[in-house]
Amino acid sequence: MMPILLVGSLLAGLALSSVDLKGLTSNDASTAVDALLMAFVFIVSVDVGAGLDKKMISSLGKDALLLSAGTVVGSLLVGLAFSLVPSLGLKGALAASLGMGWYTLDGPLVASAIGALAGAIGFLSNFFRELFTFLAYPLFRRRLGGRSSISLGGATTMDTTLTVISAVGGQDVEALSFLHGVIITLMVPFLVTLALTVIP
Amino acid sequence: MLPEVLAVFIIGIFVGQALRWRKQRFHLFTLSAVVASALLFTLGLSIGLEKETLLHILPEAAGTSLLLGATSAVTSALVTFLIRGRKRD
Repeated sequence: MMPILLVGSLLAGLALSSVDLKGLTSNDASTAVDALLMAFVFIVSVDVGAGLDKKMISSLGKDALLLSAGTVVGSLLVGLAFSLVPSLGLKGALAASLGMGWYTLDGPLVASAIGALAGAIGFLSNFFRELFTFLAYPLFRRRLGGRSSISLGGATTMDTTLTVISAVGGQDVEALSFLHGVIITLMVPFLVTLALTVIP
Repeated sequence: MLPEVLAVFIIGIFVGQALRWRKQRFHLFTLSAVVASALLFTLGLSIGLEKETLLHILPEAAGTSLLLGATSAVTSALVTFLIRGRKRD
């Protein structure tokens, strides 16, 4: 339900832009994106901060850290490989791949730092990663096991894709999936910012 | 812009922990969904207002994004599988 609402909102914005909006420029819209991005980041971080539980971290910590390391390294490798795509470059490719499924953050952040094209790729690639996880988790669970396959979903494993992971993988992997999602969600703003600021 | 986003994120984490410590219960799911929808609506508007760029890049952007998203997911799972010593649990 949630992804449909979010993609519907993006499409509604795209549709409205085709109407003649007197005086409204892409700069005005970008300013609004920046303000809403701040509000969104604050709300999500309060929610994540409130969900951090010492007991859960100490019991699943090691496995969750291994999973998170795999997720980051995998995304980083793919970002490096896609830097060969001329329209992306190293900066755009890494900023998109290190979004790790968090498309509501990655799209606006990359658009604000690089431009509309990179922002669109940042949004779409992370959105496709979420969709792909919904479809592929059951298949990968049989091949790689329920725990390693959590890495497919990146940051989304604490909310949207947690539904399919807990339905298919069971309670065994549910808490681990949530903690993995929290760790990745904590890392994404830092890693994407790092890619956008350090790489020329 | 980017340092500000990080600063807001870190402040939010501490606010969340403080609220948890004070045992205050709250649900931010609806608020987060509303703000995320508004954010993406505005992003759509922002992208759409650059029509010429959009029409030029969209076919390539869609293909590249699909490939990038799926490859990131699969590579992450495979790397994790190897890091965990090929355990199929």
